[in-house]
Amino acid sequence: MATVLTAAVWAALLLVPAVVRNAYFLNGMILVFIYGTAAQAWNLLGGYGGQLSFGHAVFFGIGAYASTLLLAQAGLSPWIGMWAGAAVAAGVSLLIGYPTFRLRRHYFALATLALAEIVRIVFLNWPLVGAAVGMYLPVRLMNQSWAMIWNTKGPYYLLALALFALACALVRLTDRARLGVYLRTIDEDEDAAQALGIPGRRYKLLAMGLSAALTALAGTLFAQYVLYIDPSTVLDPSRSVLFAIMALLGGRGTVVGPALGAGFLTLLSQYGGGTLGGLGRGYDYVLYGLAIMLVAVYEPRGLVGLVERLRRSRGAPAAGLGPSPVASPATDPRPGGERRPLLVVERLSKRFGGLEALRGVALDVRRGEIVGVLGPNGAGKSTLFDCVTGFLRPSEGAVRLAGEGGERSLTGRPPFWIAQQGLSRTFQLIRVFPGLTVLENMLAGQEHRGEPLLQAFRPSPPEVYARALELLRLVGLEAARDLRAGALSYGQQKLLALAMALVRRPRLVLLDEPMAGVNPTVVERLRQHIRAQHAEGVAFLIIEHNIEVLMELAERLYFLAEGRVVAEGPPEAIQRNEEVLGLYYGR
Amino acid sequence: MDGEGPRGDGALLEVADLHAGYGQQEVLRGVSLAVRPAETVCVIGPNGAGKSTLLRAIFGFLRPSRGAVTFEGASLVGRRPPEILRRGIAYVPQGASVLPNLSVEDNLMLAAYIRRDREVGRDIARLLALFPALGARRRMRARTLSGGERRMLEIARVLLLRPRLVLLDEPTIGLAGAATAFIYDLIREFRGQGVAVLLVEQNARTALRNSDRAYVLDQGRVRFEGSGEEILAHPEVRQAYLGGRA
Amino acid sequence: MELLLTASVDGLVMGLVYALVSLGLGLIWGVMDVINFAHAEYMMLAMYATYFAGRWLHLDPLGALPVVVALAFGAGVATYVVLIRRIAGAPAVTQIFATFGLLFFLRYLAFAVFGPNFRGISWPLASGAIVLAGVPVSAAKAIAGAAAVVTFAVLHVFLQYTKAGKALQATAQSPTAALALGIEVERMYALAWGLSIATAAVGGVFLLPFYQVSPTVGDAFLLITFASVVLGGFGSLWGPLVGGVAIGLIEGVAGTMLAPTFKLLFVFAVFLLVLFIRPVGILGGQQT
Repeated sequence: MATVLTAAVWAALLLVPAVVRNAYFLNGMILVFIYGTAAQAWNLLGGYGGQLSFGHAVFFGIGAYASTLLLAQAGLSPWIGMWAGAAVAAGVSLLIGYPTFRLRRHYFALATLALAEIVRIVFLNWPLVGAAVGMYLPVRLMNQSWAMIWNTKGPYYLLALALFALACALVRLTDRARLGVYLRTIDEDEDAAQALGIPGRRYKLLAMGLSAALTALAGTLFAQYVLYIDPSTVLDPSRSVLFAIMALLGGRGTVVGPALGAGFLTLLSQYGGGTLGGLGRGYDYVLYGLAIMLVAVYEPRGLVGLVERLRRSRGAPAAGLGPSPVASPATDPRPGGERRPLLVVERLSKRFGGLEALRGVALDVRRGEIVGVLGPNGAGKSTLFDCVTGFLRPSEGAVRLAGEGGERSLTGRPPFWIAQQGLSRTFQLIRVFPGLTVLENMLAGQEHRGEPLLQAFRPSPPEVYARALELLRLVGLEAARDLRAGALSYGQQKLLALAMALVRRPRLVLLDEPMAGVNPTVVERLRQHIRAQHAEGVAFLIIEHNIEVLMELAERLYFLAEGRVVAEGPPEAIQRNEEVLGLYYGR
Repeated sequence: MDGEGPRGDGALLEVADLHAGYGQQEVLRGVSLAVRPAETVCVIGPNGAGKSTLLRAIFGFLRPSRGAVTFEGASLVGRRPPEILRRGIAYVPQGASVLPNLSVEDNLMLAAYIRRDREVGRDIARLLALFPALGARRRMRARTLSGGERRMLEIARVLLLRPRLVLLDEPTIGLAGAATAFIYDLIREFRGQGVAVLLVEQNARTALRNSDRAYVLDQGRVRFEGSGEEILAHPEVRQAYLGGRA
Repeated sequence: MELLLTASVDGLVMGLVYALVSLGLGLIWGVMDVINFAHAEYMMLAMYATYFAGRWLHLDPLGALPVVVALAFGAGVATYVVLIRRIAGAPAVTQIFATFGLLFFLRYLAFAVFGPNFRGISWPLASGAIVLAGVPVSAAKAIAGAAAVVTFAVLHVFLQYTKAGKALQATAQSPTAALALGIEVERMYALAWGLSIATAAVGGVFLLPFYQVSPTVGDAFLLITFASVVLGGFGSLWGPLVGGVAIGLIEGVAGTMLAPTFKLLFVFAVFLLVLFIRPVGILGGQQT
């Protein structure tokens, strides 16, 4: 139904110039498409990637000036020149993105603002591009298609429509393909995405480059249409604001949102302009500002979010726990004898200012082993996990993981790289991606090692889907696969988090208090799943306070207190260890 | 263990069938306990049992999903921490809660934030005399205090508030020998002044030795209750901590 | 050399003004970890208020000061209660575009109500020049610099020596501990916002005599104030002071060496550089 509707809309749009002659209306539509393209481009980065840019006009301007310059000075056709503009814009965007993506998003937002101002001031004073006077396009080339200059609106309309269609197609592709899932996880919780092996910066840069290039194309078309550019029209901050607002009001991170926003705002200013725009774009921006604040407070996902909310309130099925067909293995698979080491932690220390959280911790996990870590509060258990998985840099010591080509050092490597070596983890406070569906959460957990960048534009391969669904079936969440993960109960989210960690078939899974805060039924299920995975050869390192569970599952235990390993050995030995008892229970 | 715990008459604080958690996480699954005036009651149990959550729920940092909390007959559920403080309950959270960049004196002054009477200055001077270690450092930033001294400061702060009930969340965590003894001296001092204490401890034995009554919390429920000595001697309690046969 | 000295003194004084306007931004950042992108717009509005106080009430900036500051304090509290309180727990993205929405709203409201033209006042008391370190500095600028120093001093005294000030510090250091002491954290946040906007307003009042106002004035100041706080460090009173003075000096010196048009550009470039190299700032992120 939706596809038929969409096709009908596009068809209608295509036929407009044949039917409508009103120049004012056509003008409005052309601007809708041009701005809409820029809004979609902004959406790629800000909507999916979560990096809000408030200086996007800089790319618009680069596109406009580059193609115009090449046309005026070198007689180069804008059909080619626009790609030069896109390339320059993309390059500049990466220069800004690379250093700022690792910082908080506020820094990126302001960096784009600063960049836009810098470029605007430069262009205002640069004779080559006409400084404040700007540049006129060579009107003498009127009606020469190679120069992309016509004296009727029709060709512009079709070209703008084509560009807008391209932009929408690109966003739709992103939305459906892996890239959409990856970007949205990075937007919602970059740390958790990294823990699944997703290289955050790389995908953000990809989105950034595409976004800049697409905006530049829109800029070129704008120049060709208006036939005059100067810093106040193409590099103005209000332009940047406009693109952002269109996407935000319509709904960032959706395919339709920016289109809605662009249509609504452009037509509003075209036709409402009489009443509202009296003082030169004054009043309408006041309303936009107000609208943005309302959106931020009540519905961050804009118009699209509002519509979805209405639809959802019509009784969405609450997911219970489905049947869990995991049978505990009949025999207790604790093979005796030596097993090769998998994870080795040596002399690990971590200091925070004056506080020593870890002191010379030594620990190892052998292949296929279940090892437990227990200890009182503040013992450093989560810090240990963070050091092993790359979220903290150890002050001293080393972490090594055995692999095909021998041992690899994990010390100081970024979390996504460590995850890609075959390590998985969950967090004490569960981190699933609440805005994504359960299935999408699982897809985020697929193997990312050696994944070529451009593969992200394709949907996840069938094997991954199969594996994801299989795991969901095992944990009893298959029926909930299209629900937003945020709608699940706490226990369900715990099961989802475990399943997500298993998609990649890791060799070692680190679980941080998996049994915390859930009822005994869920505890039992989790226990069974861990057992089942263990039977398939997966090793586990588990921090847990639920003593019964830990004693039953673990083959070996480490008792940590005040940042040191106080005791190590099989559960029975630990239970009898007087020092442990003293530390845990008190003297 | 049959509870001699007071239900009803004479109880200063009463908790009945309390359920609470964080978001959808259920941590407390029906906890009931009581504290009489001037009594020292401790709650022990393994990690994750919900001890800290219990105190936080009483003090208003989280809202229980079910159950009742009454203090001197009035319900505390749904009230915010500053209100609960004004009713006569003081709370010392786990870990350091001194304000590191303020001086010792300022920390004390802030502790008396809700007091509007003129005797605050005199009381502060008296406290600083009572705790020479703090007095010596009155103008230095609290950051410079050792762990034990900070805990001292936290508990001294409480005295300024003249509460009728003090909630202590693991007061001896991270402290060694002498400092621990000192803290328990202070707790005895509370009892001497007629202040009830509800303390949560991981260091169970010392707490039990110094308490009138105790509750053992496990997986969000009370598993045992009794006098301090009774619980200390109970063989199954150790099991709750480490499982297996002792 | 002479030129350099002039530029430095001038830059220093201007830097004090930048510091003053940045103070509020840093305060909120340190207390609540909210970055108010609309901060400079309030300064702009205070400038307009000063202008109209002169036009309609015949008050010179000193006379207008109490009125404008009181209004600004109220505006700050209102902003917290109406908007910020509702997005305090929201993800960064939402906070960013909420305060940006506020920015557009205020700026374009100014456009709509006041029009795009630049307006200035003349203040007889502040005409002429004062000599500082052998260098003549415009009296109006010097007064603004002095106002900055006084405001920092007042705020320092407030934070260090009054009960409310210490309660505010406590809230910034640990909202949980503060609540446990009976401090109403929400009221502290509202207070912080009131102070934040009020100090920005002081900057605006004394800026007007030598810097004309238009709705776009907030643009340059947004980046300058953010740069000051990032450079100098948030979380303490002195971060914005150090950062603001540094920015002022850089701008002043660069202005003599480069063409004045590029002064602003240089500042932005420095800002980007700071972002890339040391985002935590000179004084780091220590709490107040």
